[in-house]
Amino acid sequence: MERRKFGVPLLLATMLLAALVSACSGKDDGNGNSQAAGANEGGSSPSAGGEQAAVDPYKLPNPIEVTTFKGVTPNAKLPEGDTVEDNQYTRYIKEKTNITFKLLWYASGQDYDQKMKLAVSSNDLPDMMMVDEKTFLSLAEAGQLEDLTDVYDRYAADLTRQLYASTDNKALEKATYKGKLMAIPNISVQADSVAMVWVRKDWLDKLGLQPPKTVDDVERIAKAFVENDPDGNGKADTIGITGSDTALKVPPKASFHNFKPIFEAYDAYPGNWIKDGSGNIVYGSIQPETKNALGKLSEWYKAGLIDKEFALRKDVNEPVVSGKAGIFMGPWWAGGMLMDTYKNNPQADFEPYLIPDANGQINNLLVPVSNSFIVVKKGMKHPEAAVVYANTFIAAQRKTDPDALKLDFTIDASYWPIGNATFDYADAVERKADALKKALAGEISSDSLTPEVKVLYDNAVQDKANPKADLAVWKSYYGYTTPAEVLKTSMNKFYPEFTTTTKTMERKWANLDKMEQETFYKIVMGEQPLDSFDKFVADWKAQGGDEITKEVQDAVAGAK
Amino acid sequence: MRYKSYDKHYHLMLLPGMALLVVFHIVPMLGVAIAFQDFKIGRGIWGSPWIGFENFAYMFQIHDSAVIFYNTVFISLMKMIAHLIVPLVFAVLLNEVRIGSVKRWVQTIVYLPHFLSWVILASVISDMLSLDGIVNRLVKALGFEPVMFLASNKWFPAIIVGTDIWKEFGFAAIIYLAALAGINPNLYEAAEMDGAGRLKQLYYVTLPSLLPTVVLLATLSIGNILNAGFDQIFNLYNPLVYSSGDIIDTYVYRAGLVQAQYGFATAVGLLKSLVGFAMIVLSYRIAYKYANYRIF
Repeated sequence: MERRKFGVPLLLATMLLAALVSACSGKDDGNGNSQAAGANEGGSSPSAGGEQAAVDPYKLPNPIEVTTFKGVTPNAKLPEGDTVEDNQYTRYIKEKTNITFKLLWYASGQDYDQKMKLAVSSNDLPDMMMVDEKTFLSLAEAGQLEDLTDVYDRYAADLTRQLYASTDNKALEKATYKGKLMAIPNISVQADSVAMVWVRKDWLDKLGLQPPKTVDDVERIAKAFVENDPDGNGKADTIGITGSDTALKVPPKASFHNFKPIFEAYDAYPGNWIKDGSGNIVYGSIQPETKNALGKLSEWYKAGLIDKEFALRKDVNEPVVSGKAGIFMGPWWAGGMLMDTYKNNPQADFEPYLIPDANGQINNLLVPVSNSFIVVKKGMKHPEAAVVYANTFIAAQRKTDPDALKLDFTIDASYWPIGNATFDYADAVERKADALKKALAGEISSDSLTPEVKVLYDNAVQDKANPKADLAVWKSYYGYTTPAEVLKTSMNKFYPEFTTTTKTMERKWANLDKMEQETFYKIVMGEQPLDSFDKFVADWKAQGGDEITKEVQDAVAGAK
Repeated sequence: MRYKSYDKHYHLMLLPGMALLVVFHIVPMLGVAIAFQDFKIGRGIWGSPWIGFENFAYMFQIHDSAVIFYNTVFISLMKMIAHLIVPLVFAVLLNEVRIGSVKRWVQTIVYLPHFLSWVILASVISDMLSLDGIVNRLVKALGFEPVMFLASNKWFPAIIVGTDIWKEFGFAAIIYLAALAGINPNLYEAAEMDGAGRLKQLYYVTLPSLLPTVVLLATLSIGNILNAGFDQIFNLYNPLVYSSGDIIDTYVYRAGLVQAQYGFATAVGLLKSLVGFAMIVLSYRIAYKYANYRIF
């Protein structure tokens, strides 16, 4: 059956691409040659400042057409008359940059991943597209990408450079393959990596409890929430801590109902390649710290502190939104879910906290600074289009271009011509929160705020007059107040050491991952004793884990 | 040529179907080449290295390939048996209903679930089987401890088979109902004349007349011995029931698509098809020999 599933889309994609590529390649010929020649002449000393005056980082001199494909958010709304191919974002880009994007196809979610991989594997690449790190590296390795080093130096706008500088140039390093810049990387907001423990403050107050400062506090609070009827309905129907079917792995990007804060409080990072005490790169899931964390979680599960059905829930937010759960773990931007919760339970009030490890240190596994890469097909005549596009996209997203204010940003960002990715200061949340705080305190004039923060300011002022009257207004700025203050806590921050795959990993990872997930869930849910962890570690090593560890260590050593 | 000129337009009508078959089924067959390659994204079929039977060998080296294989065969065999018996019994019973409108209503209602996708049904089923779902309320009312059905390796295969048969039996019964309608009424009349009651008529007329249909369906379904139902299991399983619910297709999904092991995934698909083909040939021979039945 698999064969058939591959075959049909492959063939369709091939036919479609062949038709479209051949149809549009003819149009570019007119001005392509002179453009390329001009770029070469000026490119002899690319980083010299004087030359930047010679090019407009936001607009190409002549209109060009660029092919692409992209993933879109399923069922995202568009105004009447607009389409995925022609909407306010595509018109904005066309007007600003002179680039017309020709969308070969688009799809959502896993469909997109599959179609994209098939197109890539059959070498049907568009001129420009946005891909993940793994795809980027395999394309770079196969020599299918255009070198962007020179065009970046010539065309990158000041704001773009500032954004990359805020990452200590880690982002550009990620996009560099064998000394050449082969992609324009995105910049993830590092605040998204922090997983907080959100606790219902109104329940704490009702039961006369203090906010949590340690893992034991979380345990005590969860116990009280389960046993002392905090919602006062006389029934034992409250849930202590919520979870999900991905809760037992630590994602670099904090996600809802995932036990990242608890694992981090045990200095455990299952699912990630990290440095151990002696500086070797090891797999987090087989470390003794992970065993300790699982031991604690299974104690909690047994005592009924964790949702009995956490691994089976299809709608993981439901216990929180319905007002039954007292603790969930999640990122700083939990406002959306809280909005729904407060709508159902006006008296509910969640507050975020960070939980330190046994040494009083708060650990935080950071998100890789880039996870999306704008790449250009080898041989494309206008590689500078990628930089010009990125400049314009950044200026619009950061609202530094006055015209961008006319755009309706409630329209889903995946309708931008090559799709959506975050391009922002690595510390964007803290920056905006600071500006908002100062403006609200009257320290700076609200007129001096960037348009982006001005919106937050206006919403905050509106909400202060009539708190939580309009929850949509409250939600829009809430993340930049209390949760952003929590983000400023000093933390022990570090990156995962390795985020792609190795040769043996491709082969054996599915088996190892299955073993890991099965063992971890069974341990936590009490079907296997904690000591079965030791057998898992031995099996993991024997069934390819040791081999993979070696490869990962070599790959990391080789990259440096 | 054996064909007369008036046959020509029939062949013309056959053409679009044949064209579709060639384009979508025969041509993509060339893609099975991937099964013998270390297929690399970016290099394509022409550029990827050939590795012979390594993908196939790896299939049997996977640590729990035996468990996965057992789960697959067990679940699909159970489904196959249930799919032969339940619709047959249902069709025979429904055929005895004398009021036409009741018959049509019942038939319509029972085949409706066939048109729902497993994505939707999985939510419904997991809600019904949750700790405070309708099934566990019944369990509690009867004085038993509530069970986490979807986390239990004891219950999981039974739930898979049970929900699948619930979804499909109404639709499968249509074929039997058609076969029942096709039985010559003279046979019943003759049996009645000979003094056969309803049960004897069922035993001596109805069942023997349905036998060819049963054999046909059994023969066709046996080719699916390695298809235990990806959509259904994928939407209902979780790591806790890997040991009873992980089947070839779900494993290949995780290994092949999530990890981008296209060569391996294709190899498994090819092997599955070969086994399915062999099973069909075998069961046809058996049906031919012992039931004296011919499909082709």
